[in-house]
Amino acid sequence: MISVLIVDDHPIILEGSKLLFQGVDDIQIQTESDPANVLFRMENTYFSVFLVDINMSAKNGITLAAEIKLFQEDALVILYTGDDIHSYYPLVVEKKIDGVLSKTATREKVIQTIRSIVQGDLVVPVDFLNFINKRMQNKYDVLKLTNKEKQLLTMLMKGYTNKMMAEELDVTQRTIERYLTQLFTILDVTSRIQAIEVVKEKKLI
Amino acid sequence: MFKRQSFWPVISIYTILGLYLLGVTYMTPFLGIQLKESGDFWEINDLANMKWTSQKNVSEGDIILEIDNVPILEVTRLKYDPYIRGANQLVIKKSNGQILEVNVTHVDILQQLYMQIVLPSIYFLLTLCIIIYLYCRKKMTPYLNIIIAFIFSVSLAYISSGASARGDSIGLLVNSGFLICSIIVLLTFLKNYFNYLGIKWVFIENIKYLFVLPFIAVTLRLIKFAQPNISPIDTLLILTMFFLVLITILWILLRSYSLYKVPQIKILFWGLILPFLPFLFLFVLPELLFNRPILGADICSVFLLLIPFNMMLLQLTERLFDIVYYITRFSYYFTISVVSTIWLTIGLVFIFDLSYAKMFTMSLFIFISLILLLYVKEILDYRGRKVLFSSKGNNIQKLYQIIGKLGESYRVEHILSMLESEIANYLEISSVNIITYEIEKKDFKSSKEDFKSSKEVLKFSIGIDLILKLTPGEIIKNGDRYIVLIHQDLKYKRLLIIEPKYKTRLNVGELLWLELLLSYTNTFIESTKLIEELLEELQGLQQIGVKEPTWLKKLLFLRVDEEKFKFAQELHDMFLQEYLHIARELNWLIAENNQESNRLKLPLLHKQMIHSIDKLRAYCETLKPPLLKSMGLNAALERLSDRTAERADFVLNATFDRLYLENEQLTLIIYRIVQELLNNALKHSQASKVNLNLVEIDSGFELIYQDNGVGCDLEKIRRFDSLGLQGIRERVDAFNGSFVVDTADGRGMYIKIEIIDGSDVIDFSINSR
Repeated sequence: MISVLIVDDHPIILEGSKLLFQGVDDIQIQTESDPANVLFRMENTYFSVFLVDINMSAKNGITLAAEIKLFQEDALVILYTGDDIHSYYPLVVEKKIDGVLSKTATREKVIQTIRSIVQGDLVVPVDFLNFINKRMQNKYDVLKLTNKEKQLLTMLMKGYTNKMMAEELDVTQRTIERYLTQLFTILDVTSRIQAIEVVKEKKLI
Repeated sequence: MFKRQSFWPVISIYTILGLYLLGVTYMTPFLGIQLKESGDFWEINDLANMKWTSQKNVSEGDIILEIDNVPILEVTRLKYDPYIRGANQLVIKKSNGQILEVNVTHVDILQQLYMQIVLPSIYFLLTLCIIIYLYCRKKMTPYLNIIIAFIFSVSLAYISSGASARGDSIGLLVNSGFLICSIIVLLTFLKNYFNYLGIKWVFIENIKYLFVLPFIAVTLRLIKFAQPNISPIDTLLILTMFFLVLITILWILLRSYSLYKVPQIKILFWGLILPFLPFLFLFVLPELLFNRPILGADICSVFLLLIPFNMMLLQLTERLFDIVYYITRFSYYFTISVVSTIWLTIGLVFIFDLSYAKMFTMSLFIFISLILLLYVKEILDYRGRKVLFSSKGNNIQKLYQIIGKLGESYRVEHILSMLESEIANYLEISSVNIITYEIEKKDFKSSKEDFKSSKEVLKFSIGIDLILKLTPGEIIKNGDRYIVLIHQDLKYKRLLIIEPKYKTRLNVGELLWLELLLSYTNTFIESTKLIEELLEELQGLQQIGVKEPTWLKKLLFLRVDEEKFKFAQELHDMFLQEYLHIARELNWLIAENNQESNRLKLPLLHKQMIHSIDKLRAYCETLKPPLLKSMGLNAALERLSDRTAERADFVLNATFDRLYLENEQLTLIIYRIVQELLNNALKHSQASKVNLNLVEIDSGFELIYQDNGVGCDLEKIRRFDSLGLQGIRERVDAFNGSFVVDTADGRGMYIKIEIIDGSDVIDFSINSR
């Protein structure tokens, strides 16, 4: 039995999705219209798969995905979006999500995707390979750091704290956090130490 | 040079020598009679003083029998030196056989009396007084010794000339020795002065060896005494030495000036040259032109004696910089005076029919009077109305610039720091400081950290009382410092402290300039504070909840409603019709309830539905870019350019630098601008190639758009704004950016946008525009 929580702040979609899974015995559906409630629900009930809408007014689906994964390590999160799914491939690669589904996808496809992901498979369209190829080429060899990035990394390597960097650049600490998040995404790292390692290893500066 | 303790001995020696030399000159009046040996007799060959000799009935060809009661044949030196320079009594035999006894007294030769006794005596006393005064003055300048030595040597060389002309041996030695000595001392002075100015010395380093030259001169003279029969080469040698050194000095000055363009050198140069000018213009030129000198050579050369005093004045009044200032206006007054003098002289010559000599004298008189008049006028003007002419125009022009700059700033600290740097740049000063005195805490704060010592000065030597008494704009001088109160309010007093370089004083022009600048600054600070208060008030209102004035709210409502209508119309046209159609089809299927046709028609309807959803999604994306918040600007821009490329007929070449923006609002602005540019390209450009580059620059970004399409007429854009460029321009303006469009009918379009990143730009955009 696969227990699935669908999170979407549009009740009509929740209704439609429930209908979608009628007659499917191995998948059990629950719904939640308030993303802020998800973690409470998780405390009481175990879900293995989460179908999360991206464009929610209370909380962005990507943020919610990160929270879910932090709360429950083995949670499988699938973004369920009305947008074009191509834009979210990077999140799949970075393992921030486990799959992405269009809301216009057919019933069979949705069910099949959930089943495959639970079995540990990745279900993506063929053009995902194009994206991967492009990304492989782009990685590090082609990556050309901007002046600002070099400046930030130099400070990181000198062991500056966020506060020191903020003073140096005359911006707020929050801004520095924002900058670093962006920089880490580009370097495909998650921490300062990793960032410094990558820079040293690939001789980016 | 001499040591301090040797001052009085030197003075005594000088006095004794001077008295002796003047005594010799007084004892023997100068005759200047050249003799010629004819057989056993000495005959007068040439007479220097025609007036006196004719008066005494002495003429050329007379035979001299005795000089000062000594028979002529016993005066052996005449063999090599056939001159009678000075004598009290002569016995001569006229050509008609008459024997005359001629007594010579100074009163007989008045001019000679003045030139050779009165003037040197005055000069002697003057020198003595000045030197003693300089010595007693407490403030010693480093080259005082050199200057005193210079004055001494010139004075001795001058007053010994009378004695040496009379053949007195000590007079001759002193004259030759100090003539050479004086010019070498001048050279030494120059070297030291250049060192003081920090200018590289262009002549040989070790000039002290040159002091051998005066001794050589003296030795030459001594040899001459011992061996009177050698030819008179000594005088020639000494004069050659003198002129060589003089030319060296002039060369040094000219060369250094051409190399370093320091005004002080120019002044020195003129200080040396000017005393020669009377000689040139009053003696040499008139002599050549009209055969009649205006002044005799001996009087003209008296001006040369001014040289040591020139040097002294330049150095000791510590007013070299002021002299620069006065000289610049001198050239201005000079031009005015020359023009007016020429005009007046021409007029007077026509009316009165004057001789050349009179004309010359008169124009000189007019010229000097005019210059004096202009200076007097300037002084009176300044006293009366504080009006000052500026020769360079620099003062006023600079003031304009600074006021312009100050006007752009919107914070008191900013104004003050700008004031500080501008003053430091403009005035010749060694330090400038802005001190804030907090009245309640009785504490000083300085704009510079190394100002502790001056803080003490403020507290103790100037005193807080004095500071409290200052009124804004009043300039007071304390020691070498100038202190001004820039601005005061209930909490603070802000003071400006200026220390001029080289301890010079600021001249009137600079003081007036400073006063004006400060009065402007005071006004600026007042207004800025008003603005600051207003801003605070506004922020306070915002916190209470009274956000915008009602007129703004009304305007916003109207604008928002306008936008709403636009969207409603688009939704109606693009989607509502499709949904109506789908609903009608479904309704028909339900009514028909035919299994077979349902099976055929439903997939079609589904497809139609999906298509409609896609369109609607795209529409939503343009309104609210979905990736911007979640995936960042670059992802959103990439997506935008990809979608545009799918739909477009042109080749889109887009690159986006990763930006790190302090102001988060900018990401949306950039996205909107790019969106608008690409929309334009799609709808209007008819281009086959479009380039779009977002480039990171120092503290901001640049967005460059370029297409090879039809372009358009810029005037039309302005009038109709069909391209939405106005929207872009407004956005760029709101962030203080620059926006450049270059296009013409049929020539494509080029747009360049530059915005500087900064979180508070928006708040002060009104001030900085």
